[in-house]
Amino acid sequence: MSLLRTIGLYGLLIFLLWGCAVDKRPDQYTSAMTVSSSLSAHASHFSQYSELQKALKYRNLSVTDAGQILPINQSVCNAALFYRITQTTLPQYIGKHQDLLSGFYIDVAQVNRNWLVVDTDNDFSTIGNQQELTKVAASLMPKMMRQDVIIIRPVPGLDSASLIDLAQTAKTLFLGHRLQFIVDKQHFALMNNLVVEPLSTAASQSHAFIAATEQTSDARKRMIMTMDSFDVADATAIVVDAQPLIACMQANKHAILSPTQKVTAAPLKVDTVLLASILPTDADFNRLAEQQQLLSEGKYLSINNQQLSYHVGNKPLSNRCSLLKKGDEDYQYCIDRQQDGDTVITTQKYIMKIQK
Amino acid sequence: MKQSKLSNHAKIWMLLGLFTVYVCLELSLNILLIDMYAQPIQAVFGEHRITAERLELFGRTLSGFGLALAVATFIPAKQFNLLIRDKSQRVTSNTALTPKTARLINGVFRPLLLVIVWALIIPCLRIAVDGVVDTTSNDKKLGAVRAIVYKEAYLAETVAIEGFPQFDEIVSDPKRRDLMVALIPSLAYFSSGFNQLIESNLENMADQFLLNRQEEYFIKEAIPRIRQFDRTYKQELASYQKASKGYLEALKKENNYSLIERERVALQNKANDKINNHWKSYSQALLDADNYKKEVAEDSTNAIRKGYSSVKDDYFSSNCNSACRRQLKVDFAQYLTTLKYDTGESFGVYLTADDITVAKMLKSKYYLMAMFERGRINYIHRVYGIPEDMEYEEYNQSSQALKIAVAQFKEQGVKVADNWSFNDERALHQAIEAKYKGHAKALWGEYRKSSRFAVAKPRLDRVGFARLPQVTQYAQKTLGSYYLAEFSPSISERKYKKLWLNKQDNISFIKMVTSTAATAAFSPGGSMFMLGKDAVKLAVIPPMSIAASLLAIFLLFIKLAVYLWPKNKGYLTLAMLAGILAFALPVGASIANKNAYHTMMGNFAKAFSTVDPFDKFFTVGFGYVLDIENGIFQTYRDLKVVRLAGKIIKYQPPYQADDTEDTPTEVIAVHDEHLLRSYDDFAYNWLSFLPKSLGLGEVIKPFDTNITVLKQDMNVGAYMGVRLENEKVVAVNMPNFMQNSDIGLLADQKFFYKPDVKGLVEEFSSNYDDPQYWLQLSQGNIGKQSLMQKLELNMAAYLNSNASTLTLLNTLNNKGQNNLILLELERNKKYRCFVLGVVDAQMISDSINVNFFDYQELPKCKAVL
Repeated sequence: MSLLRTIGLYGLLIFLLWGCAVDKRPDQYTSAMTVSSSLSAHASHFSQYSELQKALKYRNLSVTDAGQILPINQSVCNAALFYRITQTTLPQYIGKHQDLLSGFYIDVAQVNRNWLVVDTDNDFSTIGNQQELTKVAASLMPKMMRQDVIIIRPVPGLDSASLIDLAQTAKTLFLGHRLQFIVDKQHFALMNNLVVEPLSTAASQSHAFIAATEQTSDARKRMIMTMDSFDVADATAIVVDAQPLIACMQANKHAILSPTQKVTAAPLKVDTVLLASILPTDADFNRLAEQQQLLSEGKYLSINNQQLSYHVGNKPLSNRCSLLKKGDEDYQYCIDRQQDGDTVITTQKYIMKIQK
Repeated sequence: MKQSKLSNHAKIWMLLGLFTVYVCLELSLNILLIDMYAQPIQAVFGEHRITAERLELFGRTLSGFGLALAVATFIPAKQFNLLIRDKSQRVTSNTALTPKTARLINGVFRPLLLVIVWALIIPCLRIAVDGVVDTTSNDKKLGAVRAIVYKEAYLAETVAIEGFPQFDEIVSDPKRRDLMVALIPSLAYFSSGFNQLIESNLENMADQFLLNRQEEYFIKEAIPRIRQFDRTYKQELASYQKASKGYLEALKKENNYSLIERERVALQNKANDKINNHWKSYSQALLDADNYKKEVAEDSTNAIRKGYSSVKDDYFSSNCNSACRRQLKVDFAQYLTTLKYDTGESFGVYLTADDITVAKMLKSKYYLMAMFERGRINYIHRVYGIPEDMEYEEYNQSSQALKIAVAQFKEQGVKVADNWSFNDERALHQAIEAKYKGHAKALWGEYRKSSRFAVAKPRLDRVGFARLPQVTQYAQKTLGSYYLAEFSPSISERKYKKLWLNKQDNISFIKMVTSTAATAAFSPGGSMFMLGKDAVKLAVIPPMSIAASLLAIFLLFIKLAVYLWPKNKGYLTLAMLAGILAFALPVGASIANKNAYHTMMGNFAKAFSTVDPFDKFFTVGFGYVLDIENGIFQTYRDLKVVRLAGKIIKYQPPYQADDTEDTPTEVIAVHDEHLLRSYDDFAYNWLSFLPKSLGLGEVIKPFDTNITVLKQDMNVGAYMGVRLENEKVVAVNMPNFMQNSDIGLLADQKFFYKPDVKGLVEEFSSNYDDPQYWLQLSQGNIGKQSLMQKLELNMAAYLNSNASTLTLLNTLNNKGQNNLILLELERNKKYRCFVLGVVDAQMISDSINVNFFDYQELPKCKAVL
């Protein structure tokens, strides 16, 4: 009996000492995160665009609810995009622009102690449409993203007091947003004191600067550039308005990816989806109706508004040597030098003759 | 009487013996001279210089002996009366010589005279030759230069005569070449027809030589440079193309939205897997914790088990209170937790003091097993970072899972913010973009840093690359003076060579020294004074010596005949027979040969020696001399005696093995000071007053700088010698440039009072060989006084006023470069400057044979006239 008790006691002890094996295997494993293919915020979810959207995605493009074709995001442009505001009405995609834009750009002038947003050129030479800054801000603010940056270019020649006033005004109007002011070098310190990032009005090694007029275009309204270590100026930001896509394509020749399909013969049915897949990398994607027309002629419309043949567009001048033939002027550059200089060409005996 | 007859025979034999020796020596001289002067001048002045000098001394010694012998034997006995004191013994015209007198005259006076005359003749011949050379007119010197040019060109087989293939055949036949080459300068020099032929062809000939040489030089110097360029170019092109490709690939990734999306999806899926795998391996590890390290617990010899036993012993010892017991547990827990194998692998449990059971009831094994399992479970929770009570569903959305995902992204180079959440796909997309962003640019930066051409832009094709300014710059740098704008990375070497050759300035040394305007420079002090001397020596002396030694042999035979005729007809016959056998037969055979030189030279004379009868006669005579010489030369050139004499005369450099730079001339001179040479040099210096006293040679100090002005057409515009003192031009000499022309006399000094010195000088240098120019000068009429002096004075003043040219002259003078060649550039009166060393005959050879004849161009010389 005592033996039985002893065994029982031992058994209990062992049981107590021993932890039991733990089995934490779940019945079923699930994914921690749901993986979905996302679209850019500004891309349309309309079902009528779904096919086009898919085709465009492979070209770094997207279509908005308004039917405008835009870069799928700003990073394909190799530069940040800023939207230039000149009036209170804004494009439909503003408000869903987090992928497309880094912020907004405004040219500001002072009239009667009022700050106005003006429609002007890169040199501030002619001033068109004007809007009060407060009104613009009021219409813009609800649509801004948290990370949006505001670049303000005050009209040149403002004194410090005015600049301070403008900076304070902008700070209150665009509360919580990063501000950048394009000013002369002499105002850099002032800007830094106001906790406003200064950009230079002239080429600079140390600061980003606004590019000269020659580098702008209808689509690319302003350019913000920086110098790299080889003293080559690179665009870091492009200011766009109505034609962000063309501006983007002008800034980066590789923004649009190569066609995913090739046309060998005129297709039976030409639709926008097909165009999205076959248009060359320098085509104007926002004029698809015209492109549709031109395709039957084997042509397309480039962003420079030129009609080009598909043949040319599909074969960028990556290697002229493959096209050149013997006899072409540049052909000589495509061949290796013939090492035939060793053979003597001149040695002949000189024949003396009686000179008459 | 019998004895006297015997001694007579012995005398004749001795004479014949001496005669043979003399003939052999003359023969050796003759043949060695041909051997020597069949060499290019380069060799004569270079490696064989000492041998040539010795040969010349040998020749003079030998000929001196012949001449002295003639003098000594032909002087009438009467002339020796002066030396005889005893009047009774004196020679009188009507009485026969007394034996005593005869002995005195023939035994003492004549041999003495022979020795003295011989000793005098040796240096005098040298002086005479110098005299002849010095008095040779400049025109003749120019003729000699042409003759040498022809000889060198002929020897180098770079020239032929139209209608005379025989000449070419001879020079390419090693058996016949030497003789012809050694003697041809004399024909070219003496035959005015031939000399004119050379003169009229020289310009084209010089161009041709120059072209040949330029091509050779191009091949030697430029082709390696071109290939060096090609190597670098190809490397650079390859590295550019590689970098460009890499850049494009990187750029595609940077810009490809869908590709980045694909990567995002892949990353997320992988992170999901990883999160699940973590749990899987965690839950499995928990299962495996059962019986963890059971074998250790069961092994009674194991150190852990023993350790446990000793802990137990201490624990239950009477003097261990509760604190001690607590400490024992802490220590043992610590021990097991930190326990590591030798490999560094942890024992794999985590225990605290509370987990340690010390009891006596069961075997240690059971306690240990229990502790190991518990410790293992603790350990797994800690290692996997999962709390004991966390379940899978909770874990899946926990910060632990998020950390695993973030770590997984990081592993792939994708950095998301720490506060990233599972559903923030945009941030993840941007993080992937950032991973690629700037990569292309960075790659390009690396390429630019590591490559030579450091092209700023990628994506250029071969055509674009070939046209880069970097390529041009590198080509300019590599090719240096061989660079032409037409150079491209692909132009064929042959084509480029042609272009280059066409662009070369044909500054031909030969053209320069044979220009008719050059005669002036042959005057003493002129830049070509040395050249003229060398040329005359080389064109005239060797062939003359050869002919003279031939003549000497012939004359000696006659003399021997004259001597033997009255004495012994038998010996005479013997000697003559030997002579005929030795000389007449080979010579006759040579003359009778159908390829005999005299027929060829006859034809040559018909074609070219049309100037005067002497010319024709000389040319044909030259043919006969060639035939005679040919007979002897071909028969005896390999005779042992000749070779032996050659060996003795031939200079062997004392330190053959030591072929460092300073061997050739300096060392040789020291080792060559033997008696005869020392005597010759001494006597030469001692007797050198002779020509001066005879008014033959004038010694003129060489100029500090000789200036040769070449006109645009590369013809010589002017020569002038400049003397400098204290960095100023003190005198300018234009050596006899109006020689052989009376046009100069027409010149009017009035002209030179014109203040426009510059214009005057310009006009002079471009027109001075134009007779019209001089005629125009003659319009004035005041006196004919030294045009040259005026010109020289004006030139000196002009050079002094011209700072840049004066500086140039001083610099050159300080460097010891005293030949300046100014090549007129197109239109403007500016010049390219070249410098030459001392102009001598060797340069002729160099300019025909050597790959490169160096006109050193002075960069930015700024000479203005």
